[in-house]
Amino acid sequence: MRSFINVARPFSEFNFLLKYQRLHLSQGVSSFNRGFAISPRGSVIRSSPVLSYVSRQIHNATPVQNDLVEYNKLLNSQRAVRPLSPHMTIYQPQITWYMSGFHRVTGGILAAVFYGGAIAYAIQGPLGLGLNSDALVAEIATLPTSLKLIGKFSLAFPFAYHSFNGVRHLIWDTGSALTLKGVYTTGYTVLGLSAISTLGLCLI
Amino acid sequence: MSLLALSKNSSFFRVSRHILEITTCNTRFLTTTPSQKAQTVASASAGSIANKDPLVKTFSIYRWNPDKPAEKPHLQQYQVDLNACGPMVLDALIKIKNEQDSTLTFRRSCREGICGSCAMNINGANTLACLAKIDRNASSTKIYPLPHMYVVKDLVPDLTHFYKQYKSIEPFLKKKTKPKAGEREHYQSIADRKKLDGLYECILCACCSTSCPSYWWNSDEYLGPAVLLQAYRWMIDSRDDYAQERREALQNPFSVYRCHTIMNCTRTCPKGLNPGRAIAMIKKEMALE
Repeated sequence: MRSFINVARPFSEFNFLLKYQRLHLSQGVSSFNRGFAISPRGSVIRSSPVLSYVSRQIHNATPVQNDLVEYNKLLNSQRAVRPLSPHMTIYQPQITWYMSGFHRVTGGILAAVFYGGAIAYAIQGPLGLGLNSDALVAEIATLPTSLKLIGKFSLAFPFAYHSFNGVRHLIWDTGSALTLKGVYTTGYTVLGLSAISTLGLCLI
Repeated sequence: MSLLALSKNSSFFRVSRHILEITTCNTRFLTTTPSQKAQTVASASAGSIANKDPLVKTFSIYRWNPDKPAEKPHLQQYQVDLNACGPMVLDALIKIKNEQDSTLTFRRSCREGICGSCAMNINGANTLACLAKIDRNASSTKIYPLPHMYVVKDLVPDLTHFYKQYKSIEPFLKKKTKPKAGEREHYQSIADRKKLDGLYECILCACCSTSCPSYWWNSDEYLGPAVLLQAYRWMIDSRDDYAQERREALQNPFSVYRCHTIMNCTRTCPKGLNPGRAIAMIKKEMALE
């Protein structure tokens, strides 16, 4: 430490070192820096005009700290207003994430129908809604064919798709078919099988 | 004719014969006829740029300036003549910055797909601008920053959080034993080394992580494909002793299990790697442990 101080380096270099030291002081980066800062009043430092300058710099040391404060202020003010880059609306339609999203949506639909149906059936007795299989069959038989088809499709397709894609996920969980080719082959297979099954279920 | 002129003349003749030899040699090599060769040379020397009609294409580029934060982000259109531009999207960006608008801001460095700086969303898919060829048939190309990231300026996203996540998986070799005296290297069999292929090539461009919808919604806690690929890279390294501890660190609902095998990561990786498979392997090993 002493020899370092005694070598009268040019001001600019001292300045730089002090700046560097001050910048890192608050973060406590290294013991060297800390040691250097803790002993600023050493006799060596006061002994020469050069070092009295250094000593002054150490005692004041505000310009750089102010710089840092200013810098962080600016950074934080900019960070506060930073926009989030566009994502879902601009990302290319790909079978990968579209099928995944669809898996979740169909899962939601199935869950809603299943729980909704079960709860409705459970409470219809006490409430006397008359919601039983015979009443439902009679009610649906009066509907036009087009409506029946729409109803069948909107139950059959989520069921078929979610089941087949579920199997696809189980295959993936074993670590198989996880190449890009595998993902696409299984993806198209699931879509094909769901289409055929939906058609079959709609014709029942 | 003086002796000097003669000697000059003869040397010229020798040189030209030399050229002729090279040409015939090349001809044999490329299996083109001399006349074809001559045509190619002629068209190249005449200046292919001057001869071709301008093929103008529009680049719509996302702009946002932190110094004018009140102005909403918008797409700015730039016209570029593709016949006076390099083949890659990065070439077009540099050309725009050089010739039309020096305020356009983007990261770039190596221009050959090894630094990962120029990762951005081009025509809806994440890739490196330096590896993405300009589609000469399409009339326009849309360029956005990496999706669902905080924008520093224009095409520059803030990757601080991404790097912090990378740091959190301790991406370095960890040993439980100290090397013996005189031992310098950690040896590895050829088979063990092979396990790192397809993992060590990752350049951390963040294309995969920012293509992942799950990372869009959960990036605060979910590590994302790029970081998990690296986590797996250290788990299966035969020289590393902390595979189990590394897996234990991920044993929570978010770090790894927010991956729903969407596979956008593998689809988009500009280096042709498979982060989706690496994550599946982590899950499998964690489940069997």
